[in-house]
Amino acid sequence: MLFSNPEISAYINQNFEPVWESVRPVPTITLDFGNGQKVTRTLHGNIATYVCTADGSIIDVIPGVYEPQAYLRQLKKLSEASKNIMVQSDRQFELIGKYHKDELARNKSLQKLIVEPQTSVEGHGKAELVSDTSHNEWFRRRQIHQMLLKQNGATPDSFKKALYKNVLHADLDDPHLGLDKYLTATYPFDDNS
Amino acid sequence: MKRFLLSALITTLFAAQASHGQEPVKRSSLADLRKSAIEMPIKSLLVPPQELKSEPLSITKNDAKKEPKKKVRPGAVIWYPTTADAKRNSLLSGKPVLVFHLMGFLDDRFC
Repeated sequence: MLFSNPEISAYINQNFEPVWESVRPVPTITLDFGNGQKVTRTLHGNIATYVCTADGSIIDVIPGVYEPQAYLRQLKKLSEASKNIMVQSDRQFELIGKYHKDELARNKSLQKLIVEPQTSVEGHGKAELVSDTSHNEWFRRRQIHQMLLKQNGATPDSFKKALYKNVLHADLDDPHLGLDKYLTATYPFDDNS
Repeated sequence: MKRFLLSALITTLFAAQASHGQEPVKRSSLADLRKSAIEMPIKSLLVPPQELKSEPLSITKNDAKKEPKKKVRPGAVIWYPTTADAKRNSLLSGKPVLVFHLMGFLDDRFC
């Protein structure tokens, strides 16, 4: 868990005013082995880290799961960018717009050079986490910059449905989060309610 | 005469016994019965697929058994209880607000 990492938690406590919010209950799946043994895991628990001004306007979003050092790098970068924007509150939206344009240009120029981020995770799931980090950083971030250029001044609350649906591919308005077609593709009955 | 009366009495008794119990089986017609008359066709024994109900694949609101969630510490970050609190403090400190969105609850065992 990222927030148990001492380096990350210390950095957040020192440089941000942090709050967490639940967007919906998390879906879980339980595998019952029939002999009393059960395993329960989350099924589709995507996350998003918004960095906002004091009035709640989004500066940028870190989408999904990152490996710890990559997440920390993004937090540091966003903290610096936010300071520059927040000290000029009268030009806030102009500066946020410029920030996204600059990031889009940078994303485009670096995408060909980046193979995968530096890794700092060992053990099971490392490859998947590195792959997720890379995908989040070079594809989802670009989508977010494009969306926020059009919705400058959006807040986490007003932006979350579009983010989850279009970027994280989990429709918050769908009770099955868009997963039912995968879960029931081979189910022979009509009662997949 | 006595023999006639005895025979009539026995016939009457048999007839009364038959009407008191189950309907007498007409042996003469039993030999002509077809299997379809005593067994329902297999198709009508089976429930049509469209009416077939089984255990739902996914848990629905009605049958979901709510078990108390195990609470865990939400990391080492010191979180504000509400976004309004974080924004108010951001105005004073000049630090940006970090809003972490998730499905579930950060202090639940499964979040």
